[in-house]
Amino acid sequence: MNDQNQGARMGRHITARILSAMGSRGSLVRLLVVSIAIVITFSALAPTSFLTVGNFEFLAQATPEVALLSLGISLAMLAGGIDLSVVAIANLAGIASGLVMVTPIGATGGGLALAILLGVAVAVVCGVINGTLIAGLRVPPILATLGTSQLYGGIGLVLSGGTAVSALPTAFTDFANITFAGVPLIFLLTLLLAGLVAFVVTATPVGVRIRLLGANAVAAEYSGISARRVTISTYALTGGLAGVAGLIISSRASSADTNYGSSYILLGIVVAVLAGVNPDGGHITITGVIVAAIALQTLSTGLTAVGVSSDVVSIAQGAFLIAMLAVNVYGGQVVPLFRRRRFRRAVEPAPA
Amino acid sequence: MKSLLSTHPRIRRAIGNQEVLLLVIALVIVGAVSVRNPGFLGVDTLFNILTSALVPFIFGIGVTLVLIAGGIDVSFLTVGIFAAYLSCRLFPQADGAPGALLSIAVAVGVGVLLGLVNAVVVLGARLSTLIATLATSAIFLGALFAFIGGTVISDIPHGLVGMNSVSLVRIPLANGGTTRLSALVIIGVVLAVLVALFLRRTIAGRWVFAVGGDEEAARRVGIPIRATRVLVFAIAGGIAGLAGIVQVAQSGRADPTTFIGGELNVIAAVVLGGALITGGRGRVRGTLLGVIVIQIINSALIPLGIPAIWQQAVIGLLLILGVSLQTIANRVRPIRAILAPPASSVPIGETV
Repeated sequence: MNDQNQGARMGRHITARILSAMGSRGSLVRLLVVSIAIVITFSALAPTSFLTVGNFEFLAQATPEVALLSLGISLAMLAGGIDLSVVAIANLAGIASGLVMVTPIGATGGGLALAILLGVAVAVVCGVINGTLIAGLRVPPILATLGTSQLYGGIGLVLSGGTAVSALPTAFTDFANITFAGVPLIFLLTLLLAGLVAFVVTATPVGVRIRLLGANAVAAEYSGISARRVTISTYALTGGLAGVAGLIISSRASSADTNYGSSYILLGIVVAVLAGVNPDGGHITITGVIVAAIALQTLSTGLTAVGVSSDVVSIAQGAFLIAMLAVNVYGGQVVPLFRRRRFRRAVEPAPA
Repeated sequence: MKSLLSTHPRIRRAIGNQEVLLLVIALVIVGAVSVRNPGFLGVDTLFNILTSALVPFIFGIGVTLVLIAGGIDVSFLTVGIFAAYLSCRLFPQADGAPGALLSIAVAVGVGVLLGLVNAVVVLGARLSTLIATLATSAIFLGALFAFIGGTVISDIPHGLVGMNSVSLVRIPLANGGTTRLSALVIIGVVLAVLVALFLRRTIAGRWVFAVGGDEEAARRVGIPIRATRVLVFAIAGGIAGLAGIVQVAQSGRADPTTFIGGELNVIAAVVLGGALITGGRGRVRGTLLGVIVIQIINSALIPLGIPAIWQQAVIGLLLILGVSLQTIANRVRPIRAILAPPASSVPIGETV
């Protein structure tokens, strides 16, 4: 009897855990509905160009950088901040490692590994600088990362001399094309990193602290959490993710430049909000971020398959963001209107 | 450092007052360049700086308004070029002084409309102004390219050309040439005076400060928060449209790509000028100083022997320095008991 009770409780507990990991407020359900709607729409509109193996391969190739940058922005949002410098960090990491790769050292296998490590290290340092400005000097996150994005972009410009760092070793540029059973390695790598981030956020002490800090900074401070250390590690993690994204970008583009991915800031915020990450902090869903990144990438490849220009794609992304936020705000008021009428008869006076 | 700051209110205020800091920076830079290159110090350089500062200054006034009201707008450049481009497309034949006025009026009108769109999105979807204006700016720019046109108009309305060619001052130079200041500068001066008077002397202007300083307090004294926000976005949109058309008049061409990616430079100037990112503080005078200092830096880099490629990094660093000083100066302000007599060196009613 007792065992059974405990078993049932465990079951309920696990279900609750899974549900909360999927995101409250039905955000994941909503997201899945939107994603499936996108796929169905474009399959119907452009079956010959959208429903092709080549298109899905492209999708799997193009999603990782967006997903990793969005994951970075989502983490910063989880801690109650925002990081507008992720694209600048990504490009700086790409340029830094690219500059090592084009030297004679970079031609060797060890040199290549060193270059990649350097790129990620640079990105983490950039993240630590962001975190220090935000937590140490209490600069508002928007401003701090606006400033550092200018700074990192400027440093990247100086390092690269204003031109793209090209002629990267083929061992590096081929990396983006490696596939396992048709799935690009970079896509699997992204899933692995997302899993790692999910583990850190849900199951490690630092993850719990990040969530608590984002949910209620005052309460976090009173429970003895060092806001400074937690914030710095959050932005360092964000920086590291941006660095990997930067390496993937330069591997795919076969060069590194300060101009790549300037539209990814908006896209990353759209993905985070669509996924149900609370911009005010405290709530994240890693699965949601990955699904949302795939959904938005599908939206843009779908629109391209239908034959519209990239300008319309950017209109669609902006409108999409506003629409999703409107759903967030007003959805809760509209949905009850469509519930079945209940208990009305008892209250209403009987018709004469 | 800390004890020095807290014991000498005068020093603390001087550091907290970014206008003083900016003046010092400007003087140091001008001094340094003049030592290396005596020709730098002259009417010619002054006119160049004023001319290149005009458009960022007008944009900056709009940004200042939004910042004071407690928001951050990143769509202003898109609004500006959208309005100016549309004005040139709608009335390409506008000639003479009435034509110039027509071009300007149309641009301002379109700017106000786009500002109202911003207001609707911000208030309707209840989102942070940063996210909302990121979305609307993607939509505006996409719509400009997709539906209005993406080609450069090199034959702009003659009225605008005529306006730019009117000289306010014309001074002969030592080398036989002449230097001149276009009458367009008058627009900047008039606008600055008008906005400063609006902010300081009108009821609505004080509401803007109240709403940005403490929204809840403003609500409780009965200030119409939403109406104030809508007003601010409408005015800021109109100012952005004006800045866009002045840019077109100045450069003699309407190029939809002119401003892409330049938002940070303007926001940097405004924040350097002392406007508080969290709202409730800012002044036109500070914005003017911020814009001028950035222009001085831009024009001083090359005479100082620093490659132009460093410009972005230097501005980023300066922005970070500016906001850090702002936050530090705010934080070390000593907390005085409410009942204690005011410190003699701080006049009553003065805010730090």
